[in-house]
Amino acid sequence: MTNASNSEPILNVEDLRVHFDSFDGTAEVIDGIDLTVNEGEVVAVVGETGCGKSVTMRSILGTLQQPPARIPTGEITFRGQNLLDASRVEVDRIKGRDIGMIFQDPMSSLNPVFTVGEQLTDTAQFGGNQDIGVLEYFRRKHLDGDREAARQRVINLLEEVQMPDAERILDNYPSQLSGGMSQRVLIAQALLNEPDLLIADEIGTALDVTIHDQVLELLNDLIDERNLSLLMITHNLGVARQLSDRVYIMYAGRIVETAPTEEIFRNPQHPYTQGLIASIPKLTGEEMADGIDGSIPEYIDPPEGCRFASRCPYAHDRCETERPELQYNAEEQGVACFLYDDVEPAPYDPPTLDETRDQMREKPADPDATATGDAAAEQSVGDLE
Amino acid sequence: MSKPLLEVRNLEKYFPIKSGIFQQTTGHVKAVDGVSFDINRGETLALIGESGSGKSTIAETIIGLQSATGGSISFDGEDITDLSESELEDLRRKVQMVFQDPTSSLNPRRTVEQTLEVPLKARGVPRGERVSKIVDLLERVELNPEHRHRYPHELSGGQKQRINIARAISIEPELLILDEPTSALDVSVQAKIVRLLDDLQGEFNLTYLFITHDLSLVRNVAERTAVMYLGQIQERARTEQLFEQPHHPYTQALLSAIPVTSDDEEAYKPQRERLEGEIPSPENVPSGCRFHTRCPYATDVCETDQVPLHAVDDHGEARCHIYDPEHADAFEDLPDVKTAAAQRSTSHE
Repeated sequence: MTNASNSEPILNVEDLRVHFDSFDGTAEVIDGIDLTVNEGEVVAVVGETGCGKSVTMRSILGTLQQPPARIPTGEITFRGQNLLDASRVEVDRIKGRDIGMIFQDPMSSLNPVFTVGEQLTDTAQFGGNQDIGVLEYFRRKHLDGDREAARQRVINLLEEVQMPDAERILDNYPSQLSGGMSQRVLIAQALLNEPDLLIADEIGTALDVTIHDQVLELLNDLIDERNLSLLMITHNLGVARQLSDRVYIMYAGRIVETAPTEEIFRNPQHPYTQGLIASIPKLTGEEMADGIDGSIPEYIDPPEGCRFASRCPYAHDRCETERPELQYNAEEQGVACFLYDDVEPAPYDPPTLDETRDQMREKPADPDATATGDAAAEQSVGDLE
Repeated sequence: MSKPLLEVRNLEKYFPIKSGIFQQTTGHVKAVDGVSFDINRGETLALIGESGSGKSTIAETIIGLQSATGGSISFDGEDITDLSESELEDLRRKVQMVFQDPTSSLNPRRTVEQTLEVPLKARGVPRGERVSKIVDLLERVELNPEHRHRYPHELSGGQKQRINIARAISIEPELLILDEPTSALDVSVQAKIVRLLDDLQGEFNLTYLFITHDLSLVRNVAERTAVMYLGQIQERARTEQLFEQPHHPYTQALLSAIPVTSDDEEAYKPQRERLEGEIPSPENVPSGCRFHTRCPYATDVCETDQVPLHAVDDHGEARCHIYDPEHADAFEDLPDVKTAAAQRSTSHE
């Protein structure tokens, strides 16, 4: 992509579309997204439930069930190689060696009937080597001390992720570990084959605040030490702010805004991003906005124009009919909203975060409208679900 | 202020651990261990804690889903600790609960109307009036009256939680227990539910017990806050006070662990070291102060002596030896938690 800075992209997603076929029609769940992770960069994809962030991640990893899913267009390139065209063996090799994956729920991501040691040692020995054949499998597993060496590697790595009592943990079953420990095991597992890119889905969300904090700190250290690139998927803007260099905001299968992390929190531009940030309760006790009206539109037969239009306080005619493209107004900073279109100016000036927050708080000042007609009508429009 | 609506005194709930072929009781999980608090009419009290702190057990004990092992609970002056089934039924006309998971707390085979009809029937509303009541209720929780013909799977998470709230307020209770009512929802929806709860409280003079693990949310909902750790209240204070000047090292750590979204908040957070280690199992609680295994200031005293709640200012109490004048010298050479907290709050202003 042209907007990338001087460093090379390690992962590049271009015009990805994912459709799901169902009896009711085709759901256009991912509707043309572009995404880049540069070498050594931490990129966060932030969005709420149902915005398609997990589907994006699954498409990158090739774990989408096809059918019902279908990828009509799109390119996912890892270091120049298109993962969507590559053979199964090649993809497995890349996933095993070059891409590490940390899934959302630490407690259910490990196999409950094998000890932690068995699972980790297997990953260390066979990650990305699904095609080695029975003899080689037997040799590595039982002869030549290969297994012993792998086990030592696992122990070293567990120590690196600050696992207390690493050697003992190897003989434990996943059910004997706490949430925080399982999370550390999974991080270790993802790092075993020294990947260059790590993909993390909602890391630590299931954990308690203080443990979550420890895990984020650990991840931060590992990224620095190993010069990892990270693509993280999260619904928590606070986590994105703490870890990432750049943020993509996703809404209803599209990227609506991207910017360097500092910029997006200091000066969010898209009305959705602003609404999202304004809805987060503040530690300092400033009043928060009253949330965003309505909900995500249906993916089957979605609105023609901007998918946020039905919930947007600044929507006008053009938003209903025409799709806003992501336009870069600075390097690495883009927004998909007609309010920022120079060619055909919108009827409103681009709002600031504070204006949007006020906008969202003013509505309930009119209690009659909330209780009866207007709100009900509004709800049925916004609320297609 | 008149008499509190809910008084909880030294509440204890121990779950026996049974083992061996005769299922002998070999120990106890002390889920709630000596918790006391009051809630005044029309007020919101927040209970904060991580998993295993016993906050949900307290809620279940109040509403009679669990029987207390010790201590007492009184509601509106009446003791409700040990009630018979029929007495519990009466109690639940005045105390209602909204659960965390909006999906599993609705019967998937009932339409919204059928769900909301049950409490109305129980309250003795005649058949002819029920539909108009249901429409009123739905409008009250800002849903379209047409939603009454839908099944739960046709509603979004936020809408389902609104139905749960409608069901809870349909019999006009006095106390509403909210067990993590927004933690399964997105932030943009959470904000709307919080505002709805706030409106309802004003309108019906409801009293809330708001249970959550999200400290940042508390500031927007509760007048007073109690912070729990391993079955005990570690600190309680007016919410403002708790944020401006957290006294207990655990509260400080909790505050500093929250991922925030602005530089203002970053500066506002107490600058504390990260907590080491994990939450000990409630089966086997640490001796002395329960927090000492993770506390950055722990000394010998903390390992051996149990801590009572010490008054720290006009409204606040903290369960920490640092605030015990008797042990003042034990903490002399430590960076002073008290002044650190005070400095932060002044520097922020």
